[in-house]
Amino acid sequence: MKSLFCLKTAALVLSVTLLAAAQQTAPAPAIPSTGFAGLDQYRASRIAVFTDDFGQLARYRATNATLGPPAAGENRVDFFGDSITDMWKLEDYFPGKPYVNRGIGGQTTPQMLVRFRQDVIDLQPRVVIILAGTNDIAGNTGPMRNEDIEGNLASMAELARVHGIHVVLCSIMPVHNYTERAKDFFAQRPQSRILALNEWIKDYAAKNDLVYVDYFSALVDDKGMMKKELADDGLHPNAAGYKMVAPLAEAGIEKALK
Amino acid sequence: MHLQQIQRSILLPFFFSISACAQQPAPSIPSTGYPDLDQYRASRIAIYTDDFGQLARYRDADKVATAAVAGEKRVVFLGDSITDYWKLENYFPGKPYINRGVDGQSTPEMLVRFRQDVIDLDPAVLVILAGTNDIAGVTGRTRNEDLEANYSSMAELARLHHIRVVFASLLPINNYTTEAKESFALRPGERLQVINGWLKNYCAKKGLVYLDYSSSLKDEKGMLRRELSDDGLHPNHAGYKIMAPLAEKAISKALASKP
Repeated sequence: MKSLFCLKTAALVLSVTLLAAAQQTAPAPAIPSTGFAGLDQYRASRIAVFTDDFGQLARYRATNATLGPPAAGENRVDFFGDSITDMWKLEDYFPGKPYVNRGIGGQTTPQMLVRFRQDVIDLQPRVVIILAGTNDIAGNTGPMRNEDIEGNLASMAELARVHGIHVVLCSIMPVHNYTERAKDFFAQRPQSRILALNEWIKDYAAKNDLVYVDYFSALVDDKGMMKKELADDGLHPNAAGYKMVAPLAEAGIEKALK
Repeated sequence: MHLQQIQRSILLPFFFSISACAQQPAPSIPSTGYPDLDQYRASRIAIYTDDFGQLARYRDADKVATAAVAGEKRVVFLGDSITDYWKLENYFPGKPYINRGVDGQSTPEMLVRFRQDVIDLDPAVLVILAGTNDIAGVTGRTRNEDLEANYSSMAELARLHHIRVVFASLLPINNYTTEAKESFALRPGERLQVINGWLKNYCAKKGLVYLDYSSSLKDEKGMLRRELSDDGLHPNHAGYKIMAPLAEKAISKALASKP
């Protein structure tokens, strides 16, 4: 039934496409391949994001407008990052705290830099806790050198500083390849790059008087992988994983607020 | 034209459904309703997906330029094609002025390459001429607030690194030639004016230099003077000749201010 529908649709599309092609030179975009079929497909699905709202400001625009400025004495904390932040139910791990989630699945640091003003600065948090870079390494928005990732992290930290927002920088989490599903995630994120970036983040935080939170060490096993029981897909922490990092985040926030 | 627009909007859902059926990438870029712009955006797909800020463009040149000579009053011109096409060496001979224009760019792209192409070059002054492609929707539809946010972020990063900032007004456009009509239609005059008003005000508030190209380039209809541009959007030699001394004056003014 479904395939029949597809066949009909395909025939229709073909004829309409030919018609359109006859009328004008049709744009034929081709996204550069990453060599990973799953990632290629994911990137293709995000084409409208890349071309029309690279930073995805649309995602939190309305939520930000209803959030309003922090109340007097409120220590608002902005959790800023990719899917690892996005999927973190902060209200379960930090009940009653004025913590806002501004994670967006799939994002890289250039995308975060583009939405930093709307999703961080304009919300006037006391603290921003940034967990970013793993998708840069994977090449979600194209191949990136470590210097490029570092540059974006530095720009975000500097912008926060200009606005008196305390910055907590988190280490990039380890990844494992213990399940079939995890193998691509793992292959796209060489351990050596994660380690080198974490080293840079730690050093940058120390030099610039920012707080460094080391999630990596708490999550890693003796093989340098994400502990199997903390992530089902090798990349994203499960409840046990989030439970492990929540107190680390809390300690980092408290340190930043001092 | 109208018919084509309708067809495109009908086509779009079909592309999505076939890609869902076939389970393989079949990307399609959202249409802007302007055929030339659609085509242009399609030609840039690898940029948007793989190097949004186009850091590759000046990466090597930046490495060579990084070592600034002591006492050199280096100036970086950051912008889009209007900067990119400007042969600075002809208009500012002997000056340490560096062109970091990238044609087609909008302000989010510039923000992404700002560190590599501006901060890391350690200039004394930065001249920013940006926003006309944001208004045209080259990287998607934008609100004025989005441009203003990117201007602010660039200015704040520059100031933190002791770089003096000059913001240029957006240039007027004209529709006096056939070639110019789409560029013109994409950039409503009132938006250009609102942005210029915001830039002027922002510079006054933040102690930055506002460089008003617009007043000198427009005719009595508020359009880019016909003889200053062949395509209605980009200045020709006569246009750049008018802009150069204005830029020079703004740079001198900036250099006289605190780094």
